[in-house]
Amino acid sequence: MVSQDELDLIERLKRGEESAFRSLVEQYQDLVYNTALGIVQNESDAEDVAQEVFIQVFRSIGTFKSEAKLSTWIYRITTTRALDLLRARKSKKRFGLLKRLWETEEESPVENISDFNHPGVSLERKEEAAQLITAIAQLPENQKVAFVLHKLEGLSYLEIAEVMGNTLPAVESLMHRARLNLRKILEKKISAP
Amino acid sequence: MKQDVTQQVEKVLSSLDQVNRASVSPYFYSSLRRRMEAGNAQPQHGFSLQPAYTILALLFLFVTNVYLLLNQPVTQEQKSTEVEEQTQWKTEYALQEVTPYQENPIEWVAIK
Repeated sequence: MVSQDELDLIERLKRGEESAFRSLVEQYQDLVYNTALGIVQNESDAEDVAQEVFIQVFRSIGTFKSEAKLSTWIYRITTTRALDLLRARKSKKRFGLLKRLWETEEESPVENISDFNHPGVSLERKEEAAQLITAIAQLPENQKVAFVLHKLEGLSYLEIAEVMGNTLPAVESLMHRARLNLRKILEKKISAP
Repeated sequence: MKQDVTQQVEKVLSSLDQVNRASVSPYFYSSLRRRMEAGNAQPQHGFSLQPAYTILALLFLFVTNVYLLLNQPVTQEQKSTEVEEQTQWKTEYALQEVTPYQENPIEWVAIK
């Protein structure tokens, strides 16, 4: 159920009011950034994605029908943009192999393979959290999105289903498979000599 | 030993419980506005046809084509067809090995 405040904000955004846009950004910037960060696992990229999300919201607010909540729509745009970035990164990597044939050793950049540290994790859990986040990066896209939305954003399975355009049983299945896969990945890593 | 691994895995799986939400930098909004005003609202990421990559791709295609053209294998059938064509051409234009002039050379006598 969409609140009256939200309906007012949407109306003001559709009228192009800058104050409404600023209000929107301030309200949702951390939500967008945190979600993007969980998926792309790089602060600079996550900020870039977050900017693209708000630009897209600004452009497409005119077509937004208030059937779903604004947050659901924004989560959807965020996860889509973040996944787009991951795909682009993968294809750049593939092309980079070809480019490296022509580069000297000094020119080719060293790949950063260290675990990503989420800034919201307490100090005593940093090491384990970094291992988990690295494992999340290896999940298939749908499982990754569901797990990040649940663990980092605290969304319920029903809310995740609304964001992903899935049914509740489908999300339950995704989460179950995500956990199984994460266990496998972590067991392999922890058992390795 | 296996129990230790299982315990450790469970510990890692629960390491993101009660994690705090990460926050953007304090300059996020101003940075966003600058970007929008600059009209640079194109996606920063995604496949882009940068000139260097385009040239590289075209060069690769060119080299591959040249290599394939120069190294086309000539089959036995193609060779015999070529020989036949040459023979036919010689006959048509009467290009024999030895000309009548060569068979009966005229001896030019110096006119004194």
